[in-house]
Parts: sequence; structure tokens; C-alpha cells
Amino acid sequence: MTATTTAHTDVQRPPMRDGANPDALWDSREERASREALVARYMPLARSLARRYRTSPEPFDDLQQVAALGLLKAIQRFDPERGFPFEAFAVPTILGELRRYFRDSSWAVRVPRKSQERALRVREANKTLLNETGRPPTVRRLAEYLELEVEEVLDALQAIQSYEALSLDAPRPGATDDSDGSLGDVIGKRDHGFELVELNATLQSALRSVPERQRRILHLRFAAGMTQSEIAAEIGVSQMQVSRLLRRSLDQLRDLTGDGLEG
Amino acid sequence: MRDHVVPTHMAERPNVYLTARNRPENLLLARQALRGFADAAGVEGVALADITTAVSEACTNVMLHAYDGAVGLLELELGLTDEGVLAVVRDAGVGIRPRVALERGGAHGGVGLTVILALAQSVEFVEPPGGGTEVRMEFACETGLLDEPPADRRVAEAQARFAAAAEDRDAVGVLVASPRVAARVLARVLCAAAARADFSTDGLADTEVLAEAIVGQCEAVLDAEYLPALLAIAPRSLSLRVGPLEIPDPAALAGTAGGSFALLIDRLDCETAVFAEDGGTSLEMRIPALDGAI
Repeated sequence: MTATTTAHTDVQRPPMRDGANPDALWDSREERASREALVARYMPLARSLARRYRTSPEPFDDLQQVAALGLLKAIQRFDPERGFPFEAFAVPTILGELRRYFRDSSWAVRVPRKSQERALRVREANKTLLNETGRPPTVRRLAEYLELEVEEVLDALQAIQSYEALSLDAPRPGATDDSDGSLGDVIGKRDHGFELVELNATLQSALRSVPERQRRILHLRFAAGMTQSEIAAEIGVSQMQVSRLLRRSLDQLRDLTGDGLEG
Repeated sequence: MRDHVVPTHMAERPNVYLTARNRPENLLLARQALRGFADAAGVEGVALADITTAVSEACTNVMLHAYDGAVGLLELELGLTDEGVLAVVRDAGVGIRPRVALERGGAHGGVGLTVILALAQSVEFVEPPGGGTEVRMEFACETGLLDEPPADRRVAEAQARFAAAAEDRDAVGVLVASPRVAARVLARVLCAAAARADFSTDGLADTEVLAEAIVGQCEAVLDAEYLPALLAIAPRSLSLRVGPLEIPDPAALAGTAGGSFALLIDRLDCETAVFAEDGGTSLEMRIPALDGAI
């Protein structure tokens, strides 16, 4: 799958956009010394911005590199004659680079790299075994196939969910701003009613408030009785995304219908 | 070797209690309960790795040495302190001093206790009045905030019930405070149990959907009560009993007819029953493996 390969490459090495190569940014020897001084001076700023994009206390190398690249770009493009301070130009440039990296790499930045790699292997193996047998494998079988512990497979499945939950809401790669929509919006363009006679009226009307893509997944799971894997294949997302959307939908429906215990 | 280090601060009430039989397979459930707690509490990275390692060592010690091959109980408690995480591992078997000697001479090579002492900021070994050992481990780390667990006087009662079920039929009990922690812990523990029961990856995903829906269904009472959940694992099926919860309308626990929760458990072919018992209402369900896995 192309998307997977791209994501994987991005995880391995922070992407260099616009053909930019950090070394190429230094091609003018005369400016080198002053640029180095600027980098040294503003690196703490870049780091503090990178920190905004992680949740764990550990330094996150990839993000710091991306922030540093943003700083280099800001230094290269900054024009002092425009009369505003460097920070005012650098901050949005660095943040832009971080956001772009965050969107394009499609991984939640908090998932450590090793578990990302394992999660990708688990996801691919799940697909392979499903295609071979027409049925989703058991967790045990998946673990044997990959020579992993059952627990490693469980953690990998969770890791996939946590990153895909974010990537589902993240703007699609190539989108210039949020108005281009997210992957989630693309899933269900066709309208799918939810025709189950046994549904009560409250639920029927609540369903109308659920976003269309989620309504379609609900329809396929509960009305058409398709499994999560089948739905994933049908609409072209991963089974983990289907799972996440199902949970979100049920949550919303509960809120909308007041099902469950009274507060 | 630090043997008795008194913790600077103890959590008043843990967020998670887990009760299981001292069977090695149950280590995975204990570890996944810890992962679920960490998910909700925002503990990750190196700190999570340290805590997981130390807690696993303490649990393994119980499984290998506490009961000398006999059936016994493993209890795990997890909570937040002002500085980080408090984890307590308890058994009712051989006390810690004979076990230290046993472990030093045994196949485990004395590694377990050394690892715990190296990884936790403070460790306290307590011998409870009834015998056995309690290992209290404090870890300094960054955490998110969780709601203060409720003062639920029925926790001890539920623990006693879980202890009997664990000894009699290898059931696993969890008591969890706050909806967010409950959803993560129940999902992780149920998924680990589903993996042992040979569910497929699809069945596992449905199990997780179900776990979150169950907690959502009980959410309204979870500011005042712990969520008690008792789980039994059979080949290709799980039995789950949630409750008793003090709820005004028992029927609400099962969901409105034709509503989303009823739809979910119907589609997943879960046999469910809601019944009143001493102390409240319980929801019992049997979760089949959910799909035709190989």
C-alpha cells in the first residue's frame, strides 16, 4: 500500500520539503558565520516550539530536527529590510514546518519509533493473513506469524489506533488548509440511510446528527452486518479506523439519545 | 540494598484494583491493566517502561514464590500520588523475608527484587496482618490529572467477592475509578482476555468497542462509585459481570430497547441479563468470539 510506504519513510527520516537539503542552505560562505550565529541564538526557540508538539517529557529527535529545519528556512528567507523582527517571521515558519510534518507523516508524534515500525508490521501481517484465508487471524496466530509476543501484538494494535485516530482527523497530505477536508470526510460521500425497523425513534433521529461517514460505517456494521475488516476493505480505510469511528459514533449516539444511566 | 524506604506520600485511594489468581498467564492481564491506567493517566515513555518492568517483577515474584505451587491470589493497585505513580502488589502467601532467601537461591536468580529496588523511587515491603507480602512502589514521573477516586465503601466487599471468584474459578476482577480510566483499563483487560480466548483481530476490535460502550452506559454513576467488573475467560468466549452499581433504574444499564447499546450487544450476539442483587444492579454478559476466526 502506497500510503503505508510513504508514512514509513517519513517516520524513518524527517522529510526534506521542496527538495531542500540542509547543506544546500549553507552554500554562501560569506553568510555562513552570521547564519550560524542566528541558528545558535534561535535554536532554543525552535526547541520550545517542537516541545509544543509532543506530550512526553523525553526529547523528541524528529520534531527537533523538523523545527531546526524550519529555523534554517526562516533564516534563509528572512528579509531584514521589511522592517519587522526576526522572531515574528521565524515563529510561524517553524510552526508551519512542524504542522506540515505532523500532517504528512500521519503518525501521532508520541508513538515511539520502534513501536511504529512494529505496528506497521502487525498491520501488514493482519492484512496478509486476512487475504490468505479470507478471515481475520487470531491474535495468537498473528503473533506466531510475526514471531512476536501476544502482548507485543496487542500493544501494536493499540499504537495503530492511537495514530490513526489522529490521522483520520488530520488534514489530508497535500491539503493547503483545513478547508480541504480530512480523510474522514472522504469516506462517506454517498448518503447511506440506516434502515433498521427495530430502531427506536430517538435513535433514528439521533442518527441524522451523526456525520455521514460514521453513519455509513454504522450502517455497514449494524444493518448490513459486515465485520470491521469487511467494512475497512469496502471503504478503503484500515480496520482500526473503522473501530475508532464506531466507538466515536456510539459515544455520540449515547449522548444524543440519553441512553445509559441518568446522571 | 535498600530494604525499607518509606514513601513520601501515599495515594489515598487507588484508581485501579486488580484481583487474579497467581497463574503466569494472568501477568499479561495485570500488565495490560497497567497500560490502560497509563493511557488514561498520561504516563508514557521511559517512566511507563520502568513502572511496567518493576510491577511485572513484583507480580512474577508472587507467581513463582509466594504460594509454593499452590493456588493463591495476586492483587495489584494503581494510583497517582503528588509526584507520580504508586503501584502496590500484594499476595497472601509466604512472607517477603523467606521469599528473598528463596529467590536468591532459586532459578530466578534474585533479579526481581533488585530490579524493583533499582527502578522505583521508593519501595516498601509490608507484611500484612494475615500474612503474605505487600510491595509498595512509588515512581516519580510526569502524569496527567485524574479525578479523585470516590470514597466507595463497597470496595472491600467487591474485593472479597473477586478474591473468592479468582480462587474458585480463575476469574479476574477489576475495580476502576473514573470513566476515562475505566474505559481504558476495561478495554485493555478485555482485549488481553480476548487474545487468550483466541478471538480474531476483528473480534478484538469489537471487544474494545464493547468495553467503551459498557463504561459509557455506566458513566453517570462513576463519579460516586468504582466500576466493578469480573471476567472469566473460556475458549472462544468471555463472561463479564459489571456491577453491582447503585443505580435508580436497572433497565437503563441494559440500554433502551432499539437504542445504540442494545443494538451493539444484539449485533455482537452477546447474551445479556440485568439483575438486581445485594447492593445494586448488575449487568452480566457472555461475549462470543464474535467472528469466524481460524
